[in-house]
Amino acid sequence: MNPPLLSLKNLTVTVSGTGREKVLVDRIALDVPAFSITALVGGSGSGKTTVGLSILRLLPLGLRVKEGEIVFNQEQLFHVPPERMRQLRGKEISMVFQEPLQALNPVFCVGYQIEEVLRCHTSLNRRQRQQRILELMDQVGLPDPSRISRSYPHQLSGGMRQRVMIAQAIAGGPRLIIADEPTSSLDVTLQARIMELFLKLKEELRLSILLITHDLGMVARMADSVAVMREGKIVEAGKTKDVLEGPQHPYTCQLREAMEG
Amino acid sequence: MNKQSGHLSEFQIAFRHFRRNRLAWTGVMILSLLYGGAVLADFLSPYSFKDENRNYSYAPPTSIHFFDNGRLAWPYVNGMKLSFDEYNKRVYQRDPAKHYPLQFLVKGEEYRFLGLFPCRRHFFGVEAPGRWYLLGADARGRDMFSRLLYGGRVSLTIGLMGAVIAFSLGLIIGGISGYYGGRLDNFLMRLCEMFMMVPGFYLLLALRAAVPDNFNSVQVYFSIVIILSFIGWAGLARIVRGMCLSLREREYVLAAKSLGLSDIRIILRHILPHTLSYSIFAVMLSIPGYILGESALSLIGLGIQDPYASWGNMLSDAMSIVRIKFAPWILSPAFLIFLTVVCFNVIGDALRDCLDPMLKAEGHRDG
Amino acid sequence: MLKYILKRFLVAVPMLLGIALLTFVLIRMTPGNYLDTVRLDPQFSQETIAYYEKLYQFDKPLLVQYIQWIKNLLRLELGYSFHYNVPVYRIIGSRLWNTFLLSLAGFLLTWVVAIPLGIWAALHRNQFIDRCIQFFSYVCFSLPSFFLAMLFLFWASQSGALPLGGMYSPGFESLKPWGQLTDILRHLVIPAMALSIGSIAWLQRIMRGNMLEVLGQQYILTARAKGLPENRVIYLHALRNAINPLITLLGYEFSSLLSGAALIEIICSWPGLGSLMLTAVRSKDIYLVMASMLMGGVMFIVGNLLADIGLAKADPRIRYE
Repeated sequence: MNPPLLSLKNLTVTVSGTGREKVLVDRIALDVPAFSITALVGGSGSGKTTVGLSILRLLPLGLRVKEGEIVFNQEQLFHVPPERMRQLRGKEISMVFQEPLQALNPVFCVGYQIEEVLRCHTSLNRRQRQQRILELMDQVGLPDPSRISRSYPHQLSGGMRQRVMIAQAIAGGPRLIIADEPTSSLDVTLQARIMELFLKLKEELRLSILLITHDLGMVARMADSVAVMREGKIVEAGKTKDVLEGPQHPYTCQLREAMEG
Repeated sequence: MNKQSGHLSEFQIAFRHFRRNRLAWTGVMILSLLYGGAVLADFLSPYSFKDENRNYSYAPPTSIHFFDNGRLAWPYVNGMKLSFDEYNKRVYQRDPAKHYPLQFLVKGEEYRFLGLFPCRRHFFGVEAPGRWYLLGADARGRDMFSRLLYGGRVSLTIGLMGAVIAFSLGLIIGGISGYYGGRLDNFLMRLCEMFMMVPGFYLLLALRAAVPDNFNSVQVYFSIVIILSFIGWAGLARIVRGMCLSLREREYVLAAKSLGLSDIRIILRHILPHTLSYSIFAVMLSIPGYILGESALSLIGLGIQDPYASWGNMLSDAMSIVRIKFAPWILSPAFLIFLTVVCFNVIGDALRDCLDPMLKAEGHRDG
Repeated sequence: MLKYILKRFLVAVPMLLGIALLTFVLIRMTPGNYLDTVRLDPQFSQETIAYYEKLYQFDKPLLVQYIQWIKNLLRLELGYSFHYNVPVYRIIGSRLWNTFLLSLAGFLLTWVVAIPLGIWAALHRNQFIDRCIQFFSYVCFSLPSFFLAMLFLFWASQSGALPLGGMYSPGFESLKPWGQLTDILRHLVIPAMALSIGSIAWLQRIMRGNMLEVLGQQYILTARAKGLPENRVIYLHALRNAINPLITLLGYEFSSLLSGAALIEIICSWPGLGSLMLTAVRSKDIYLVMASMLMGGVMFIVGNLLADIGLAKADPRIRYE
């Protein structure tokens, strides 16, 4: 058995405000194998987004990783210097966020924002970068790439914006994509298409995806394994089929009922 | 409002928040002192603002002595002897022969207390022919401290009145404009923009030029108040108009209309009160501008004229650099202006901080 | 883009007419026929007076007078200055330029200092240096600008480092061009500083607020998640967004500087439009007053127009509306 691509052990994240320290993520353990999709499910406030951010060390002010191990590709990330972390972001591990209109910079055209990843992580020259951008946009299913790359985020539709985010995420050739509620802000038909896109990219690029979501339906259709989070703890984990068909924890049962209802 | 039900009205919540801000309270206290001093100027000042004594031109602050021949004594001042040094500069020396004790409720020049009944007692001072200059004297030997108090009357009230008039004008015009919309709105807003277009100081000067020469000082005072408010109403009117445009769509306005209430009543009692939270804070922050406007006008000689005191025209003396060097106390009005402005700014900021949640609540009610 | 500029330009024209109207109304507010007061003055020839009487057509109804006034303005006929005894346009030109120079200097100083200061304060939020900057800003913002000017002049008189006002030193003509430039710059320092310190304090605070708000936005998180170097995140992604709202303030800034410059000019004896206007008001030189106010309004509108164009260039959301 190959070692997992990403392995979280005993991960604890706290927030310090008004004196006391509050625990947001409580000693969780999670494995993301290579070339698979692992889902992290929970309601709002369960701490799942915090887990995603802590892997890339992008926690907001006041939050910190109190203890635990984050091992990516056999590298311990916890003590790694900031420069190394920066090299990993976008290149080895990248992130896709929920609301692309907020997540894309409004004053730069989208082509520029994709190109940035190439500029900082690859040594391609300008012409090669332009070429690569067109390839990427094609890969994520964006029509008329040359026109779109010169557009600004507010000029594109929601679905196109999310595809741009995904193009940005795969530009550096990452091994792992952390997708934080990637379709929650889209309407239902678009959701299906984006999910297909993720699956396609996983095959074509041999990716792993850590899918953070509250939507069990999505988990059922996409994820190979799933972990259920509640109030900072993982209450159940295992292969998707097993967990969804025979949930052990009452909370998982609740989620499943909500999904069917 | 609803004390019985246990809910606090928004104003009460905001007021509580304000109470906790110590800096704002310090500001309020200092302002009360300044305004109180202005109201009680006749009583608190040892001399009238007109009281000249050319022998003591630019006299330094009179030193108060607590010891007499080594023994603790009731505070007193000595007389002053004027002499000229080799550069023909005035030098004031203490004349120990003359001994004037400091007195409370001393008899001085007559005035009308609170404008009502005649009185001769001043809070403190020295008996004539002694002269006591707490903060020094100006060019004509007038007591700076007294003039500062009288000056406060002018400077502090012109600012306040100008702001109140501009506030009322802005509120009414903005309310009418926002409520009726259409061509009236268009016209009024173009008018607003015209007024906002000319840089303030130029407008100030031009309006001042239009005031006839033969106005007496009271008329000049009111002309300046009106001129100042002319400049400030436009900004508030625009914002109030914006608020009214959205407020007039609310249900209670439609309800009022269906009851047949007159437009004016609707505007005054149903719409404008909701703009108050923003307007009051805007007014508070604009008052310093009016005070500075009057000071600037008086500084260049176009405001309140001599012998009446205003902090601005007292500073016109200080425009000569030589004089500042030898009589730095003539800059004291500037410190008082600064203090007043800081206090208003601090209070305005505190108001904004606690009105913010109120404004947000207003926004959320739109649903 | 061009369409946008044209649109803003078209809006400016009625505004200019509006200012002309305002000044015209003010002229008519002064009681009596102005020319009557100078008719008796032996300084002025009858021909001059007759010329201006015909020009302004005092005997015709108000509307005709107003149209005549506009026509005169379009011909750049700005009236006659009875105080200086020359037509107005002769004096206004150079004064206008001087005021513009001072306002520009104040403007540049404000932005060059306030923006980096605001960014720095935001990046060191709530640390000691930030608190110091905020405190000083508060003080400077509340100080009357004329007071600052007086203090600076006082300091200059004590230290002799800078000239005490005016725009040229005696013997200016005999200096070489480079010397002339430095002379003017040295005279510019105190008025420009007095003018800009209040603005710097205010602008810095806004910049700091904007920067802090932008740094909390989602796209900054994305930029970091992409692995961009921190410098790029702050000085490219964050800064570009933080500065945008400030560009709308450009027009307002310029106007407030113009207005503030007038008072500073008077105190520092800088020969600009403001001090000209003061002389005109003091000597009741009506046409000069009107022309100065008109020029002030024009500069304001031009400033606003430039600011609008700048905003359109900087924020694509406005451009493609």
